[in-house]
Amino acid sequence: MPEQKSRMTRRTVLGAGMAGAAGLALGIRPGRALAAGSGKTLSLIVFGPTQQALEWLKNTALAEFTKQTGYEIEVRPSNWGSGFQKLLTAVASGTLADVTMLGQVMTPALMSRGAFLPIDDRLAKWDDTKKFYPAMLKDGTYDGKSYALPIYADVRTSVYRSDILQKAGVGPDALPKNWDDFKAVARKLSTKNGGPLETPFFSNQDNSVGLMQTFSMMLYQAGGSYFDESGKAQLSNDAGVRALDYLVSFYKEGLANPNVVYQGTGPRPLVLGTSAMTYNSVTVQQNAVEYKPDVEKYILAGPPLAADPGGKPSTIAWINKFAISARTKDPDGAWALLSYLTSRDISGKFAEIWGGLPARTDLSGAAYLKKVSPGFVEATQYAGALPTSPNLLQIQQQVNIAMQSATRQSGPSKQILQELDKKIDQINGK
Amino acid sequence: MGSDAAASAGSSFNTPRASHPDLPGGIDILRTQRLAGAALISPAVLAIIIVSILPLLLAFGFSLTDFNLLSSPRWVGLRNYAIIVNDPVFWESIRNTLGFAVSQVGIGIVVVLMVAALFNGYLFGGPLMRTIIYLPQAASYVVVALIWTMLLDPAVGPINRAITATSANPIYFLSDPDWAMPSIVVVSLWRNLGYFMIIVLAALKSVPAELLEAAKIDGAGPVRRFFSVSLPTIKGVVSFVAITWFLGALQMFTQSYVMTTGGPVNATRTIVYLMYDDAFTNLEIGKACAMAIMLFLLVVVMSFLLRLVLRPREDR
Amino acid sequence: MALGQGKASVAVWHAAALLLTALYLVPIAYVVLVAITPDGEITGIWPSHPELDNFVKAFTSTNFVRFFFNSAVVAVSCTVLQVVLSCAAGYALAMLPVRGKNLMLLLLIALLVVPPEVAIVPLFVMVNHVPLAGGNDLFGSGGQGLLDTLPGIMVPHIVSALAIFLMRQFYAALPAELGDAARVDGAGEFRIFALIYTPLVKPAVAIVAVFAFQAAWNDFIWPLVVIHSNDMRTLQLGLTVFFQENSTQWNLLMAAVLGISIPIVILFLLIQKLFREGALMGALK
Repeated sequence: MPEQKSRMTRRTVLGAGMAGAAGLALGIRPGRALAAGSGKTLSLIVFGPTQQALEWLKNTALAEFTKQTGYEIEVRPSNWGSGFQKLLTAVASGTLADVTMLGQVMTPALMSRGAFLPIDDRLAKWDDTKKFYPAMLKDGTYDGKSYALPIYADVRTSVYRSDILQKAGVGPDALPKNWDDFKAVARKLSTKNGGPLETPFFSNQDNSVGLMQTFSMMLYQAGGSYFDESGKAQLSNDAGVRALDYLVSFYKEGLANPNVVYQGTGPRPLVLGTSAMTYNSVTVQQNAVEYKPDVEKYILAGPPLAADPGGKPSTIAWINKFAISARTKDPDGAWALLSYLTSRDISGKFAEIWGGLPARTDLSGAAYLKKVSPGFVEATQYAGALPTSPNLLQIQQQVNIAMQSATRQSGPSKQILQELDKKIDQINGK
Repeated sequence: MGSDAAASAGSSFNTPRASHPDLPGGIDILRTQRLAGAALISPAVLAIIIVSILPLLLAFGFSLTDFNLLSSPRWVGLRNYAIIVNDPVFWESIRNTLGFAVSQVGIGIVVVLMVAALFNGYLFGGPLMRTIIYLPQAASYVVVALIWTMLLDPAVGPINRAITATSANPIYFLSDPDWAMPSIVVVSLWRNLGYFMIIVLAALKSVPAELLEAAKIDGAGPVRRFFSVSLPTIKGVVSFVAITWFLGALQMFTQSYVMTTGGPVNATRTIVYLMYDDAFTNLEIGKACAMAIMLFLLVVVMSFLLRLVLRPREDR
Repeated sequence: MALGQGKASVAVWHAAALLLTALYLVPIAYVVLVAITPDGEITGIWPSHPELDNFVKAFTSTNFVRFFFNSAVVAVSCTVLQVVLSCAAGYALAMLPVRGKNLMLLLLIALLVVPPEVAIVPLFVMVNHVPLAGGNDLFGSGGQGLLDTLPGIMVPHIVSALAIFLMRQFYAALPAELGDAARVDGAGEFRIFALIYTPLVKPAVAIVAVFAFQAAWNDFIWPLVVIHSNDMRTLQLGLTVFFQENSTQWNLLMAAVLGISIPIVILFLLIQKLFREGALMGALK
């Protein structure tokens, strides 16, 4: 009997070890087995959904897709801030979702690394292809191949709280058109000059790259750009320095506070009424709809700014897209999902609740656009895009950190930008 | 935590216990014992090789290459190290990491000694209070970090509510570069205090009563007794606590990731954070491995230095 | 060693201890207060009514039950593996003639200084290239390996040099004669290990188990790195993601934090003594 017992123990011991080893070797996925429903599943990454947006996506849009096709969709929501972090690694290690939402900057970074399935053949056969704005469609191509379909455009411009501006005597017909006017309004609103706000201007400090986006728009307004013809970074040229000086001046004069950070959810400063002017998109209006519906009517989009009176106004559009992973096990299913998401009705609703302008011509009359402050739509004609550098994903983070430092008046703009240029060139291997 | 039992490993190994050679069938037994030994030890050896030794060798190997997972590693010699030491952010992260460890453990040891001394005397409800202080140890760093992110929030946090109620400006604990790291230090201290207090308390309880009694007869007051009798007796334990705590603190990541995402600017970016960014945001596996080796070197150097400074003389 | 004896100083000590305890109790009470505050109400004051629904909402809006299950599977498996491996190896190192034993011991001690974070990046590459797993071919390429799986999360926690070393110290403190006597009675080596010696080191086993469980349960950076899909998240990861996506819904977040922590705190209070012994063992060994 004791002998028997000892063998039992040995077997149990060995058994446990074997089971562990076997588990490791086979890569069992206990979770998967439990999760799988009907068998056909696809995964979908989306960025920046609010609770409301996520509910619509899961319970309405994707529920309908499941009914039509039988595919269960595993939605992997992520905020923009942490979203881009693991994308490159996911691509390289084969863990990217079947269909992924993409921000502007992610697109070339991932396309250049072979992350996505080319969809040229499918686009050629799809009736809807010609319904997309050609420029936006082109934004999803790399090296002559198409990889992504646009879902909405995040077109930015200067945005105001009309009710607060009114208090400072700035009417909706007298919105600033250039930097000096814009600054003048901020000064009027400041408590320092008897105005109502501690921090009239909010330049989108957040846990993502909002500050870099604001700087980029100012850079374009000053006539600057990221790279010269040879591809070397040139942020420290005169235009770059002028843009950064302008951005930093709001902080120097106490018109903005670098420590106020938007957490990615909840009401934005403009919606809260702690700031009254910012550079942003329809997203702000959508943010008001979700968190403070009564201020939605005060969200007012103004014309994009020019650096100088009479100068050329300029701004930037970020095109958000969807693409199919190159390693998907079910390309047809993934295409079905992609084409469903970018179809007219879904795409329109998506643009509406994510807070952007539609990517399809047949949505130019979409009902929600009537509620959108007209300035957002008008800004489209002045919108440029960020360069399609494959390394912009890393670069934007470095720019954002440098801007965080600059807005805290850490040193002369020239020096900060020179260091930044050096860093960017290093990332680009120049 | 845990990486430092080497501190306690000074005790000599017992020589292997040979079985009685005069047992019946001595040679046979020796052979079975060898077999049994090999059978029992090999799974662990295999596992250690796979999860500890091989990764360490690979980390060193990859650190000499340019590697992005997509293509094969390309030999670049010491280039990654050159890039790292020429990057001011690396030195900033070293400063952040050491600053975090020094301030948390420096303040921590003093507080732990005081609190342990406090609880060593008679206190009504002492065990209950001790348990409460020890409680955050049951929660993970993530949970503690989330709780404190809420408590320190400029808008909804009670601390700033109190501050703004006195019509002062709110303190942006986690988004002001001057406050971010100190806040993380305090939060980490808050979590770890109970754990190390328990260790020191147990050591204090083991101080022989006769020694204290003798000192008392000599007219030493309580403070004097603590410094001249108790503290020297528990010096070994205190230095163990300091070393373990310090080396653990050099590996800080979770608090920064959850509370400040390494910012503002780079104020809370630690070495592990830079390694994470290099590998998993920028896909620079080679550089990340070089950063890992830097961390390894830092831990080895610091543990050597600390042992040199803190080990009681007789133990050297 | 009692500090002062006078009545005044006793009062001062009590006040100090109470103050210190308050530094712990007040934040915890505040968390509870926030967790029961209904949506849209200002947190931090007594809510109009305690909203217990927050707990239900928190646990249904994100799949915390699933995360709890994942964490439990990972932590328990790692604990079992680590206990089995360290008992076996610790015993062999202490009691049996093993070739290269001293070298192994030295190596173990050397490994104790290696911070676990050093292994993360190479381990990620290795886990990604486990042959025949997750769509990989025989040479470990083509798929995702063990990334995004529960076994993938377990990898760094299946063995611990510290645990082996501790078990070895405990076995080594036991007399060799016990085994010899059993051998005379004809007992096999495995039986001597499992039935004679191991029951004598039960407290050490418990401590190793507690440490292993805690390390696997609380781990953050490794699951953060290996997990991509929602369903594979551990609690720590799930909480962080929930926070990143809903950072202003403090009532739900705190409800989740509480709901998750309560079972662990109870477990912790039940085995408090073990934790304390574990903490002490490292120090006093």
